[in-house]
Amino acid sequence: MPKQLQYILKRVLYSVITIFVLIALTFTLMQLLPGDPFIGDKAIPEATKEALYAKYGLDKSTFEQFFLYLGNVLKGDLGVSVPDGRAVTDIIAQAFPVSLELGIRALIFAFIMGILLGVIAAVKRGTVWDTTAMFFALVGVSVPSFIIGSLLQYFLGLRLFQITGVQVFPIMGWTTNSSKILPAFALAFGSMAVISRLMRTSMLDVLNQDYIKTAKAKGLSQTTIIWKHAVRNAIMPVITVMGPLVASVLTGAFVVENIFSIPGLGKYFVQCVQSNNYTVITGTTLFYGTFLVVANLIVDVIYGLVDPRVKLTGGKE
Amino acid sequence: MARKKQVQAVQNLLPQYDVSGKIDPSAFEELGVDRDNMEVIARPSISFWKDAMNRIKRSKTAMVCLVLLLILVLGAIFVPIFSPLDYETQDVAFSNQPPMAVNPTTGETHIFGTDSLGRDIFVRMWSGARISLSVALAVAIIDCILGVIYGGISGYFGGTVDDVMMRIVEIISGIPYLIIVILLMAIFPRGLGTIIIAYSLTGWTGMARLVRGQVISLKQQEFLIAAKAMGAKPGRIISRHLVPNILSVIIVNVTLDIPSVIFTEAFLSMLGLGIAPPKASWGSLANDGIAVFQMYPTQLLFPAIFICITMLSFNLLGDQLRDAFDPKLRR
Repeated sequence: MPKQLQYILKRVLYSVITIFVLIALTFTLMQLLPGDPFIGDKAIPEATKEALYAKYGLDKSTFEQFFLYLGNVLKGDLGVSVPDGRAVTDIIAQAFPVSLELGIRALIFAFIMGILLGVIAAVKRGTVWDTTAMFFALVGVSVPSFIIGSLLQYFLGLRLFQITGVQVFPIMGWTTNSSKILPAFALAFGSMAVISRLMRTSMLDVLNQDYIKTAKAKGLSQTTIIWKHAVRNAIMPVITVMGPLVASVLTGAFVVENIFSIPGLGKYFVQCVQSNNYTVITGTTLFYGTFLVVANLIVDVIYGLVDPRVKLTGGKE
Repeated sequence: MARKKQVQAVQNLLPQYDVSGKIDPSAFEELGVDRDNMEVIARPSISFWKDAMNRIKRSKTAMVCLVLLLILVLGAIFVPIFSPLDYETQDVAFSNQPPMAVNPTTGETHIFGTDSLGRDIFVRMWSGARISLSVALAVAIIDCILGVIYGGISGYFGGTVDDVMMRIVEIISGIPYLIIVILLMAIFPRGLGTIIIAYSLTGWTGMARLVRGQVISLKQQEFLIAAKAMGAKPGRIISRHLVPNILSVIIVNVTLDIPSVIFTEAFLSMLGLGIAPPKASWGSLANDGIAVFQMYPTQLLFPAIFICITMLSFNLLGDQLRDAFDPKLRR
């Protein structure tokens, strides 16, 4: 396996460099800010301020500061939120699980529905089924998640409640299972559309292959051919977009969490952006960035290992 | 016997000709060989671009999209000029009105109603269209120029230059796009310039990869080798062979780039990182709409419809252009 190992090592190296660039970038942007990060709405006691200055080395040169910052980040210290004095890592540890649950729900939903739609469209190519599924997918690509979210909130949350008197889908919060359906769907819609389009193309390609003809000639049933032979092979290209999809789901959560008042990291991040809480913004950005780079790395490595047809040394060209 | 009958039948139908088997030479005229016009192509020649244009013209979807986009562009240019209302005049006494409401004091009709500060939503929609569309266009063009130059250099020179340049692209595109844009927007002062710079800083890598790939595959094609063998100068090779062949890919990519910028702009406005009020973009209008949409759903509906129609049109048009340009996809 030297080739595969080489590929994995190369991908890991790139990811490390990317994360390093990200850290350098957030550091530079922090330096560009007027004043220093500890000027907030509330006055900080002089002693605390001096301690913080010493801790983050703000009295040293920019070059030294960068390595201090790098060291702190590598140790897992992303700084302190100035208004309430909480460590950024604590905030992430508290709020991220909620975002993660929302994201995983959305991804599972997008994956299952997207594959289903794509398979139906490919198998019934050229029929009304195909047209409907692909129109649905096109709408999904073209309608931003915050619009889907608010429309769902209005029609399924509010209007349905007004008409039937039963609150089937609560419009706010993240407590009951029923309150998790609408946000997950709103977040999943775009990814579902991407997956279904990709799945359709890939399925059409696979259905023309010789081994499908062989399966048909053997007299296998349509269901067996589609689900055991075609889908298994057609699903491979879908895995490659899982990395970008994770990114779009995570960032999409910024808005969806706000619309549905979900106490996740996305909502907190947006609040900090709006209140110019820079230490939290950069800390969270680094966290998100690293998370996504690692997610991409995992997807790439899995894809390289699972599909022997991928040119391992060349990577994705 | 049968043959004779047949000959007779034909003779009856065509009395002026003798069909009994003898051929009258006077019925024919010798034309000879016209060497001048032998090789003239009878039909007008159809170039790649004419062919693509014909395909686009024949596609109903593409034409509908083009018309919709034309209406949007014309509306964005002319509605704010000719409307008696403007986007920032407030009338708190006449706020949150439904569509087609007539203001009793001024007598103006608010086609899309008014917002929470009594501003006319119709005019705000169209001046928002100006901002959203011009940001999208500016970013798409900057991405395109940067990408073509970078990718072109990388692909044309190849070797170590290509290696280094592509590694840089790989690292830049590894950084999550939206997160960097948010970071830049949060730290730099708000305004159109910041928005455009923040978007185009990370957006060009896709185009650069695409152009590089195209240039590399073109470099190995026979017609380019033939052109070189026939003594074509680099200038001619670039202008006659490389650029026209890449142009279609670039056009498609720009068309598909625009909706994603519109989406990003709207998304950032939702986070409060868009254009500063009282100016409006579609994203900030949608954001305002979301705040009140449980009471006044039309205030969200109009920006939502505008955003969706524009993104849909550009996406569909991009797909159609790709089909028209790519001979391999033709049925």
